[in-house]
Amino acid sequence: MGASLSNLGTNGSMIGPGLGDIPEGCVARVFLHLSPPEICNLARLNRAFRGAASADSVWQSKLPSNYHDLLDLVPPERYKNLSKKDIFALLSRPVPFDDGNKEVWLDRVTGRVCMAISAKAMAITGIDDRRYWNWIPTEESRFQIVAYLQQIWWFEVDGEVKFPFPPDIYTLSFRLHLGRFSKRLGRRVSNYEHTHGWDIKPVKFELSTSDGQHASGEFCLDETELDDGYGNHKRGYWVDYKVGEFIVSGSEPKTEVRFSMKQIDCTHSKGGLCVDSVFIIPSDLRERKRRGILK
Amino acid sequence: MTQLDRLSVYHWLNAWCIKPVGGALVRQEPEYILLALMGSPLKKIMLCSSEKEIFSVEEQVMVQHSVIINNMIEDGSYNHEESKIPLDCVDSKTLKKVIDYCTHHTHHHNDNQEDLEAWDAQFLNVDSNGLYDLLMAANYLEIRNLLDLIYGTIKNMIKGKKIDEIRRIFNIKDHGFTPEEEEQNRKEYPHFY
Repeated sequence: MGASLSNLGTNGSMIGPGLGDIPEGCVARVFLHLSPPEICNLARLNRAFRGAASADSVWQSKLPSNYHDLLDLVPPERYKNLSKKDIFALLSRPVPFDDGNKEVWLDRVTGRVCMAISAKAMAITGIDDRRYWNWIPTEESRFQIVAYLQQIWWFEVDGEVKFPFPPDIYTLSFRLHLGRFSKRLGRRVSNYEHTHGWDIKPVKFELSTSDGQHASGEFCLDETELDDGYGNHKRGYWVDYKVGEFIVSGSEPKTEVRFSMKQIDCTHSKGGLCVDSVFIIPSDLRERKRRGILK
Repeated sequence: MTQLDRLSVYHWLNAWCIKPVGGALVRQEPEYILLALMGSPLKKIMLCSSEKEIFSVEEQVMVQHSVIINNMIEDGSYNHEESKIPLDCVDSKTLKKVIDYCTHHTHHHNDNQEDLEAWDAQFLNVDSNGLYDLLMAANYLEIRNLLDLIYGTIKNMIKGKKIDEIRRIFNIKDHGFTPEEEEQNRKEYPHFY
């Protein structure tokens, strides 16, 4: 080997063709094992990589098997004639449905389906009575609005969604904030004037699916004031309360999920709470994000 | 020593209730030993590299691994008595390595996974040009498991690395883009970050 003179390879090296000359088809096979952000980064390597980074075969493998169901939520003119890569880009931004009160999107790294459901889509007991509940517009919600509870005895929030989730294990959680918040002189300030009652009894969170799965949890949303001077650890920021998990096996085209949170012990009142939304996220994706592994 | 032709071998195996699979003799450990004891040489085929060097290799080894060679044997276009299979795009050094891979995996397919993986890692301990040659040969001969192994290795070489570093590893001196195309690249992909 090496007895004959090799031609200059297209990669400009003196010793014959190398990995820079891998044809586009082979690069596409390698891309099947890499994530979308990695593929987009590698598109800048050379022409073969750039071509493979746009290949339908690569992006078809990143889309969920039922991505057509997601496309049904989008006006057809927005996705006709799009390459599979562009379809992935389209679906990886939040796609609103149900009058904009729900959103679904593909996680950019794994291509798995995630969903957020606004408090606006939920049935909240007493929501129409301004003595109890008010709607507060805010940038801190992806739906630009949250429900603020001033005070009530019967605290109940119910919701449901019926959707063609791809097979996976999903975690459902409620996004809540004790106290209300505002911006004062450029700084975020929390106000707990109405916050009371959450440390007396826990709130019960539940979910159930149309195929008979159940999960539930109980949490006290607040802590009784402690004298240790360290302050309250549950106030002042958004908390995701995990209700539980459900499995989508794929045997049914659509999965129906019902969820609720309740504190209906009417011996005490409670209040001073913001309810933003419910998230439905694949469980190990949620775990990796919480541990800061995925960006 | 008895020379067994293909038909005799089939009859013999049938007598022992052992079934050949898919036109190739699937190597089962005891039968392999029996055949060796009977003194019959296993059928060989001739592969010819781009440098006109001939390699003799067990037919069943190549038939098990290479779809292209399997098809040639199956459809009868290969005549055992006379022909050799010309592989004009595979040089001797690479062909020898490919034959090594197929032979090892045929003879050692009952080894435990760790040992096989260690052997594979050692096998792929080549420079990036050597890896390219192996990739092209495996692609041409359609050797699925070798291809998957090489794709996995390439993936590991590029995963998590910056573009400049990959260009250095792959020895890419000229990426082939014009400055305008480079700029367009930078603009085209930011929304994924």
